[in-house]
Amino acid sequence: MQQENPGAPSSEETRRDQEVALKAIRTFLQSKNSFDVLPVSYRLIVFETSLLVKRALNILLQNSIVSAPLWNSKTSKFAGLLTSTDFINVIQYYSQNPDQFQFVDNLTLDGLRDVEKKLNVPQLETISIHPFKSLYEACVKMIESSARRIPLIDKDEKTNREIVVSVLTQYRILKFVSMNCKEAHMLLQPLSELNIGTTQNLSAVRMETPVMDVIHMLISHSVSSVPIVDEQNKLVNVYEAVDVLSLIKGGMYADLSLSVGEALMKRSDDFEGVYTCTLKDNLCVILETIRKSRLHRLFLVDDEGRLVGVLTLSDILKYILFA
Amino acid sequence: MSETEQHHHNHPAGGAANRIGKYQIVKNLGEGSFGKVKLAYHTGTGQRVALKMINRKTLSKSDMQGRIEREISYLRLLRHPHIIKLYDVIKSKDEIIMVIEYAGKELFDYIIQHGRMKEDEARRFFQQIIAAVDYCHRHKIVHRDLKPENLLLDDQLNVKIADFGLSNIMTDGNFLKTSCGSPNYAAPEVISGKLYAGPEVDVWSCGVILYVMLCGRLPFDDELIPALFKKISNGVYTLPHDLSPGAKNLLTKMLVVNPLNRITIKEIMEDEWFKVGLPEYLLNDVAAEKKVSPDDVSEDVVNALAIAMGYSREEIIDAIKIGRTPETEEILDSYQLMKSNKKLVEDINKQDKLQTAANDPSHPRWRTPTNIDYPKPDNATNYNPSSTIAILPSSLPQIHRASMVQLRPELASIQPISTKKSKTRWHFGIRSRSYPLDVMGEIYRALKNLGAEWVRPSEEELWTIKVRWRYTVADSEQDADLMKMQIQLFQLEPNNYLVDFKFDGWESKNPAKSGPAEQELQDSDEISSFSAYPFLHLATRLIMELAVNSQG
Repeated sequence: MQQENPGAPSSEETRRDQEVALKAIRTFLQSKNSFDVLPVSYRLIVFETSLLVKRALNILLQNSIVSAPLWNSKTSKFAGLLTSTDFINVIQYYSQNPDQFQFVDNLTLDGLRDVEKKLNVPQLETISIHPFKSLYEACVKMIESSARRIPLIDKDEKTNREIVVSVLTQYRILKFVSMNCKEAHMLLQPLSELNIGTTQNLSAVRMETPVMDVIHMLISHSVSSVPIVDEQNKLVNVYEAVDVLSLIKGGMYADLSLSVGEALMKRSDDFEGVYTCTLKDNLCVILETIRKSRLHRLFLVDDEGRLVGVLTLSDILKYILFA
Repeated sequence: MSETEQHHHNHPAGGAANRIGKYQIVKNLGEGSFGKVKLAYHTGTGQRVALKMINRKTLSKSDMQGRIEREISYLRLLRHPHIIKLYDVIKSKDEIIMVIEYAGKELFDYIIQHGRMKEDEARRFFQQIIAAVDYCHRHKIVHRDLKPENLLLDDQLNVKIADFGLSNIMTDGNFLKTSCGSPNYAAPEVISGKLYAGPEVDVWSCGVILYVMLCGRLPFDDELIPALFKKISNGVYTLPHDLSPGAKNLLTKMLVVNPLNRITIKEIMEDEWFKVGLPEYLLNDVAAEKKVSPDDVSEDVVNALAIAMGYSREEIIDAIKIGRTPETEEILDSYQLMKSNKKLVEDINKQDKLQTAANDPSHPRWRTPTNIDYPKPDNATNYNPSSTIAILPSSLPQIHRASMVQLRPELASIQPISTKKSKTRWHFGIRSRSYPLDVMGEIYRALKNLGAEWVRPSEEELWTIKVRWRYTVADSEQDADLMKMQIQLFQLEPNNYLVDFKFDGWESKNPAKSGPAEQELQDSDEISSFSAYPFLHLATRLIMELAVNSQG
């Protein structure tokens, strides 16, 4: 299964295998629905929209999760998905209106909508999908809305009320593919031949960069992470959107003056590390890694560890669906 | 309750203090990367053993537990004069306890006491280490964490390598984190976070060990971890002038940064310096491990294997018939090990009563359930040379903090957020110590305040309230539905009561949607799929109302 001569262009056969494998995976994604992915039993944490934002943050951190579906009791309806982006919006609002501390402290999830309106940023994620729809459709919906996860909403037959079944993530879908599609082993074309991921105009910061600047980059570039490099452009670390949760825990918005290096010292010891790969790697080994480790993106580096690009799970899904 | 007591409380064979199964604990030997290690003796034979307590929490994700247990039972089949033997495995809910051979001394204490070794003496240890490593590599086990703590000495000054195969049962991320504790022996590709560390990483570590024995110091050392990583990655070290050319040559071939250019174990065993005075028994009998042919299947071996690994007899015989495929590989490897193991047992370990007891097929203690759905033989431990995927060491939180504090010590006050489990305690229903009739009274008062209606309770069901409740939804045009709920008071123990809330379906005000007759037919199956939030919402309002009343 290894390439005999790494670096040389792929053989005709490897390219053909790649095509065959992609078709097989697409067919597979069309034939399975969300219930096929869900475990037999699982935990689902749903927030009521009258909950305070700071309480919601503590619950997310206590339960080691980074997002939760919302439920509005007044309308008895699913009310979107709370993600790290919403906390970034709160930080941004506070940094623009530092006199509003009292307000931010008493902000409820309902109030978040008004803040996001004032900021003129996209509102809470409200896309969703019925669990009986195919995984392929779920992937398309996520790619179209650049969401990394999609809530599964069913309807109670009797009263037509919404049921939040679970939340499907890109990671789960790719892990499911990796575990169940033998064809994934045929994806041996190196990344260098695939035109996948971002290798152009990738912004990076230094350890000394203020964390606020990095947070602004997350918003203005609509990305979920910003790489941190040293003076030789070697990748040293990565600031992820979910890192803002540990930054503002306990309402410590005062800490926004930290450098990104200092902010990352608050990262939990459970963090498994930043994954790197090179353009020589192929999707077979990447899917293998996804099967074994929870990762959300891989940074492309050269042989000296210099930053070359980033490959997100969306990039991989986009490639599998549309290449 | 002290920690140790609590510890034993959880053991399956609890009972007498400081005793686990047939083993009497003598003392703590230390804390390993997996948990506590204790000295114990077998109450029947008096044989001293070490107990390695592996906390299940330190193991890979819970869905891998089945694989881990099988992996450990595979380790039990390994037999080599220079590898610590695994006699037995005791499992409990919280721990896996490995009963292993006890060797009292560490090779590195010996080096510290005796200083730099003569080449002949170092070579004797080195030959034993390499033979043991070769044996394991041939059985597809890479140590990945060879370091002073894992090289033990028995009373005859024979090396015994501990913890072979254990790095395989940890997640790759965990392994990397623990190996950061003593990285002096770690290969460059390990510290640079390469996930698929293959047999070459053991060659590097053996090189460092040989260097330490011959030179009396470490080839790569620095107080600061980032600087140490740099030195290892650059692979620059110095050799004393008085080393023999043969020893220098071998070291230079082992401590090569690029794993592809590094000498292999097989090549080391053919090295001229290595071969001097090599004892006969260390030449592993490769020929003995020939193919398993269906014609010479040993019933004894199949039996023993079935007991040790939990395969069914049919599975084993089928695997032998099919021959070597990715699916049968695991069984065939185990079969060969079991077969050669018996020979080894007779050859070199006749005196070891414990061991034969552990191998006795009449003790089917270590049986891995076969009916659970194992993931396919996992490739996690296999070496995949075509991958360059790695974890960036400088991104690991501990290393990041260390390098930040190194630059500015005052930053040491910034602590990682704690990921301790939720302090929120969850209860079913609400508890009360009040008089039961008072509790019922409170509930009726609260229901009245909230505008709920209830069925007059019957004599038999005095402690159950059947409630229905208008569930109004903002901006909804249709008439509000009525939600039904059952509230019941249970006695948990004297003076301790539980109020339980149960969803009891919907009653529609809109007759077109469902008539009353249909309501009667609603069975529990239909209720099983419903939107839980309106129910939770009303239950919450009721609990809050009760709380307000009890305060007022």
